[in-house]
Amino acid sequence: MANSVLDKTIQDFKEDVYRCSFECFNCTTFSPEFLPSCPAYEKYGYFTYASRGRSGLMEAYLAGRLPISEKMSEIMFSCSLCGACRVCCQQDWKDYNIEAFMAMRGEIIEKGFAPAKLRDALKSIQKYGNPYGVPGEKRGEWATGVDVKEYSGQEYLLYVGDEGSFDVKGQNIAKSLINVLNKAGVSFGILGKDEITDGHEVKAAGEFGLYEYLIEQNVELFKKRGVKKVVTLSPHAYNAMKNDYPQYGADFEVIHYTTLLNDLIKSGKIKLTSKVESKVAYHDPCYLGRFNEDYDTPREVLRAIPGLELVNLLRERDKSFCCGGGGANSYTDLLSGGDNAPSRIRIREIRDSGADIVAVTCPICMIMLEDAIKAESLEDKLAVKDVSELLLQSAACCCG
Amino acid sequence: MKSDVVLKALQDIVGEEWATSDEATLVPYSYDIGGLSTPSRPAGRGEFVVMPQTVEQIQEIIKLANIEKVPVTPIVFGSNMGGVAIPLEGGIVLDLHRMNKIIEVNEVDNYAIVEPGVSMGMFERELRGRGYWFPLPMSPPNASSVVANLLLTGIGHFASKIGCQSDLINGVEVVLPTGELARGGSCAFSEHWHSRYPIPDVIGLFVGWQGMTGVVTKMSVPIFKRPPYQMSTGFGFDDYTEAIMNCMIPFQARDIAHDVSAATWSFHNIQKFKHPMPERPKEDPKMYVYMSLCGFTEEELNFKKKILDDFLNTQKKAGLFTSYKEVPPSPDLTEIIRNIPNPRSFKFSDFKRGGGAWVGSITAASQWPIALPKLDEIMIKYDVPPSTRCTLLKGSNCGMFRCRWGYDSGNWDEIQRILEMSKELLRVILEHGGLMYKAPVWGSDIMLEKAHPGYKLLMQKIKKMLDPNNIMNPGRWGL
Ligand SMILES: Cc1cc2nc3c(=O)[nH]c(=O)nc-3n(C[C@H](O)[C@H](O)[C@H](O)COP(=O)(O)OP(=O)(O)OC[C@H]3O[C@@H](n4cnc5c(N)ncnc54)[C@H](O)[C@@H]3O)c2cc1C
Ligand code: SF4
Ligand code: SF4
Repeated sequence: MANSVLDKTIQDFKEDVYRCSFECFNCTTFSPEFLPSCPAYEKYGYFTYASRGRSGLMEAYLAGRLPISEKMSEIMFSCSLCGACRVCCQQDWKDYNIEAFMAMRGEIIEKGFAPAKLRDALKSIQKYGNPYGVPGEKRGEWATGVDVKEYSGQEYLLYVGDEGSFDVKGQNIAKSLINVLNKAGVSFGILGKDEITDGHEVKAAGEFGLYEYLIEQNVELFKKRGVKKVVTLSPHAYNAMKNDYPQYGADFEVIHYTTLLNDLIKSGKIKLTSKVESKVAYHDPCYLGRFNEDYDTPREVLRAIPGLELVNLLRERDKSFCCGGGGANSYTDLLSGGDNAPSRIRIREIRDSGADIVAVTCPICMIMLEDAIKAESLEDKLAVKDVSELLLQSAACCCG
Repeated sequence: MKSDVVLKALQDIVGEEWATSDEATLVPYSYDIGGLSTPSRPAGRGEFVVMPQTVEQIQEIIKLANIEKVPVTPIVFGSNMGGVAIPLEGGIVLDLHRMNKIIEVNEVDNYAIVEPGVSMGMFERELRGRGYWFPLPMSPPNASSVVANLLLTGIGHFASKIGCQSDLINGVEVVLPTGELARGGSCAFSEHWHSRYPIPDVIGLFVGWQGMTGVVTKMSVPIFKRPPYQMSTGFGFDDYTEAIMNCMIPFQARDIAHDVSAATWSFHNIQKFKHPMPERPKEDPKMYVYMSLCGFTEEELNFKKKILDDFLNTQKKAGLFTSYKEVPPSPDLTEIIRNIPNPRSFKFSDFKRGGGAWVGSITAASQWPIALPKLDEIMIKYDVPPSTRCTLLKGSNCGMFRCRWGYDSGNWDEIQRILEMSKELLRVILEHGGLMYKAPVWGSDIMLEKAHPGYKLLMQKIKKMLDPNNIMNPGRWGL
């Protein structure tokens, strides 16, 4: 069955781009806190990089007044699809803008203007099922020596995802999560070399055809293996599997791993006894928070850790400031680099909160924020930790 | 090529990433839907956008523009809705939003010094935290410049108490069109930025000039202690004269309310309805009057409320309120006014292809009830809701008098029709002595037809003296 968003081309948004009608620019500011909201606008500064400017570009393009160019491609792909503008914009345009941005990306790719790094990533996905240019057989190598079994009908399939499989920081998160799940006696397995990308960022890139193909592959594989429950490491995979996959016949339950951890704590299967005496700020990832409205589960997990003090950030929950890693920016890298990279802006805000640890629940956030800590030379003041790593620290004594 | 030379020079001044000549990047600087231009029908196209962060960089850019004879159009957030920040004759768009420091908040002498990129939201945030407020306008976006608003003679939410925004300027620092740095107000003599007078006034050279006479780089504005007790109340009339002459003006004379405003039924309800608007139900009033009151204690607020109630009763007894109608209390209005800047204020353009436009003026209050039926008639003729709002400025000699409506911004014929209507509306307002604010070119052209020849001559002389190469925002006000 087709997904309505995936069916749409930029032409279908012709009437709607006019809805961004006022140059009102509220899309750049969370209110009533009056703090910046749009990571792309914060990085690049030109009006064009905010939701308002993007709609203007699309309107000019649709009217035949502006050709697609490399620069237009950079502008459209620099959006992290974080959804912050949707929280800020008061016009109905907010209900369409992200879909329109994705459709415009599709158009840009079709016309041959995809950013070079994105082209490489997409080619690699087509060839190997991952964006890293590494043959699929190597996907499971990270698990060598890790106490985890291949999925063969256990209660949960742990969907590790691209970062968890190939990026060292992502792998560390996967390992600590596996450690916690093992301690709690959870029955789970991984797909190892058979796993392929979930496709969330492919959709973000506007490559709807490839996304549909990946969904179909994944759904078929999961069905073949008899998967009933999926736990994802990444909120991006969670978002895709929860909101798009069911329209392609997926009938499995999907949860983000923080939900499972919270259940394990509540049911007493994980006992947290060691104190973690740290001030911890929680960075809401866009695809668990804004897009799936789960702000509380990760916080509940953190609050359960004895000794841990949760500090508030100026921008949090639906007003969290994106690290700049979404919207296929993990492929294009258009929001990294420089003082005003969103991840660096975010890390400075976290530093100013007085926290000594920033807790994350997304491997992309982990990668972005850790790099930002280095760029800001804050290594001796601030550390990024995944929620599962903090949990492990507290659970270690009693269980292990 | 000259264009390459200019771009290279701009990038040398501000750094490569903060200047561009890219066509796509320039699109959003080329239209203003409030000013009846759209991305596909731009009103003008700049060749460069540059985003300086220091005064020195602005000076260098202006000097470069003089050498290369390239126009320069200042812009901060481009939310003026009159198209007055669009580079009509191309050249450099000087985007000032990165100059966004609140340089000083002086809680002893109660003023603040801000750079042009300080938005209403940023300013409100800073002041709120300190127990202060500033008369930010009721309806603009939180991302719009405080400095630009004051330079454009905006209308704030306690204008009835303190006058129009430009009356608030204590002092400015400005880069002149030839690149020199100048100051106006007490800051020209010391670092005390407390007042505009009593010296020969030069600040007016930059007020209402739409960036044609220089680039303001710092501005001092008064700040006010925020009264913790606030309320807004409203009531209705079926007669414009009663609403304005028998209610607003005499109550304003008591100097009790900080906002005394009125709106026609369509304006009042415009946020509620999707396009097109229904007819006014007969039981609803033709005009709503709103009063905002505040106090530093509950007692003070209650006392003001009592004065208002007594006033209303006196007018009723005197037979001056024959068309008075109670309207349900509006906790919403109190909330909106408490929470300015309020991003919800332009839902009225929220339909497919919806844009919003306006004709706003400062007009003698006595003329409102006479002009209003004529404005209504014109808007009805053009099939838009007869939607007008007025706010008394300090004293009651004049006030903001503004029509506003939604339109189909995807339909060029409709845009032309709306433009014709706007011109008709402005001509009526002019007949009644009103003057359009944030005037787009069509508006200033109409006004100039009526202007005293000496006024036009003086404008030309000032412009020529300050800007001999005519580089600053050219093509406006016939200059
Ligand atoms: C929906 C909506 C509602 C609004 N309601 C109100 C309202 O109730 N009251 C009100 O007063 N306004 C209102 N406005 C208008 C607008 O918000 C203000 O006038 C605003 O403050 C302009 O700020 P800006 O940053 O957008 O300025 P811009 O549009 O960028 O610039 C405005 C003008 O000032 C010039 N300029 C800018 N900076 C400088 C500088 N540093 N030196 C010299 N010239 C400069 C520009 O060249 C241009 O001519 C509304 C706007 C919108 C979109
Ligand atoms: S995206 Fe929304 S908030 Fe931004 S300018 Fe458009 S309508 Fe306004
Ligand atoms: S989705 Fe995020 S990055 Fe993209 S325009 Fe909206 S706020 Fe900016």
